[in-house]
Amino acid sequence: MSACPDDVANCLICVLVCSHGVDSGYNLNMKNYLLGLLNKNRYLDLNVLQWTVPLFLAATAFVFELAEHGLEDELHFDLAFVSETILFGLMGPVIIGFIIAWMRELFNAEKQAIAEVHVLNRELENKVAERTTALEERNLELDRANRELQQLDQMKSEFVSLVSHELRAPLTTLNGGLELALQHADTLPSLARRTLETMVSESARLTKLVQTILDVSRLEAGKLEVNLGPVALRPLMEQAAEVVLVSSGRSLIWELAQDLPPVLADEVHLEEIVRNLMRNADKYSPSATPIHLSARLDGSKIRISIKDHGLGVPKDYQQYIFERFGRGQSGESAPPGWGLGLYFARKLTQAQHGSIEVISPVWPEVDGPGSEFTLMLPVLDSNEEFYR
Amino acid sequence: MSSILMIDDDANLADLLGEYLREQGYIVHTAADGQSGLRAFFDHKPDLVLLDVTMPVKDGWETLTRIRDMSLTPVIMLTARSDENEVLRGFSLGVDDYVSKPFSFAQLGARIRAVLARGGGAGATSLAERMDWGGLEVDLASRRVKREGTLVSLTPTEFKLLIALMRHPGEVISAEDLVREVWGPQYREEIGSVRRYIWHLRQKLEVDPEKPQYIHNERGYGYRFGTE
Repeated sequence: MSACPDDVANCLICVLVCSHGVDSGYNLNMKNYLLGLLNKNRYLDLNVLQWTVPLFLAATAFVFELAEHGLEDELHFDLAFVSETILFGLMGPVIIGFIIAWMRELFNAEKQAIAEVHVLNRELENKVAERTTALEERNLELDRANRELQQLDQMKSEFVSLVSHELRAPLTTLNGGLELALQHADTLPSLARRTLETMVSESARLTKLVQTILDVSRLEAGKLEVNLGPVALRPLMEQAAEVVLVSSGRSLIWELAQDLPPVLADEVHLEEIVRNLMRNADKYSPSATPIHLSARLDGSKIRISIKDHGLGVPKDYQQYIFERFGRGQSGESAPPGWGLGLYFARKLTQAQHGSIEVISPVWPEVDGPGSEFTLMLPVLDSNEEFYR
Repeated sequence: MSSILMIDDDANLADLLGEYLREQGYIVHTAADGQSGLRAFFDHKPDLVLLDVTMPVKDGWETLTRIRDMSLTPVIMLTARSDENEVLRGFSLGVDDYVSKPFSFAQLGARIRAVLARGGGAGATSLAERMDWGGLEVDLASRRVKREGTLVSLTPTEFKLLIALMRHPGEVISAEDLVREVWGPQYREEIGSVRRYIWHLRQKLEVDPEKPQYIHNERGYGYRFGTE
């Protein structure tokens, strides 16, 4: 900002120049400077200037006119003297007085506006501070609630893990006792033998559930080991189908591409996933319909697909079936299950750098739209030279 | 007749497992905690100890340490936990085998026979259930592989390939023979995968896979396990 003149007259000139406004920044600074001066120095108060400046101008003009007309000749109250005195000594000061009064009003209005803006600013700052405090408190509450939820989730996982561990010991005794009893099955009455065999099968189911829960909690805790290596898919899929599907007499339609390279996966976990998908296809589709099993190269991945002719998975359910306890069917008529298989399958597939998805409907038939589960797994480096 | 000491606080399991092992021809002693287990160990001097991990008074690890201070008697740990860290801890403390609950009695019976066979106990079987070569130890019953005492994680197929090669040390085995032995004769088309499996097996087993110590290539013929 350039230096501002100190005397009042120059300041007024300044104001008049500034009011024409060439540079708005300069204009604003000047106004602020003047307001500052007016606030600090009473003698510059526009109320005083409004009267003193016109009186001073009138007196000066009168003296000047007296001197002008009196020095040339003796003083005559002629038209020139009277008109000049009225014009310069009376009308000029009156106009200047009005201008100063108008400026005073402008300054007052501006001072008032600035004061109001200050008040509004203070109110706004107070409101922002209040809101910020409230928001911080809310954040703290959310943070606390989040920590509590995490602790609860951890406690729940630990509890489930603990219960599952505790169940393993009695299951060992139960399975062992049944094993011991069935060692001499031929000496048992047929009813006792059938009962024991049913108990073996149910105990095996329970053991499987406990194992799955433990695997899930270990996976969630990042403790489940993934042992990656090459996996040849044809033997794996055929052996899994033999265990899961062939015994049920289900017809199978195979589409395995020739010269399928091995995938990079955990053999044990992958077989578990494939068996799980096959079991689901078997469980959720009529026994008279076939199951389609295929594997083919798809870019740098291998696509394994298992398709059935069941009721399919409704679109709304498709996003939930890979969640914990998410099931395609529920209620009394739904096949038995815990809704952990697909959740575990997805987690395990992701741990092997693969993906799993469901497509439904697959077929145009209304009574058997079916579903297709596809696994995408990275293919092992197909460069033969690499392995020489 | 071999004698087995079972230290487990689960009375029902001890009762039934004891019955099963007696039927298998073993003399069985039982103890309900580590303290009484150690006393029974001194009194009966068993050929093998089955030791539960979680027990009152003195837990399995402490009992194992006390046993190892005085004796090399084979010990099989029974545990409801199967974390990798637990297994490693067990082996570092001198456990001979490690069985996770729930196990089948038949499975445990096979492990007991394998461990006793190693130690030359009375229950030894004629089957070679353990193979050693140049610092590489393979236990067929527990399907565990150790190199210089360190566990090596192999996939089931990698394990089968290794066994197929180790059963014929110094002999060249063709890729076709390996496919037949590992997957079966119906999987002849998997012959192209053998090279990849061998490459990965070497990465896990060999100190320097570029200069293999265990599995050697015989260009145009196949693979050979053992000396160059």
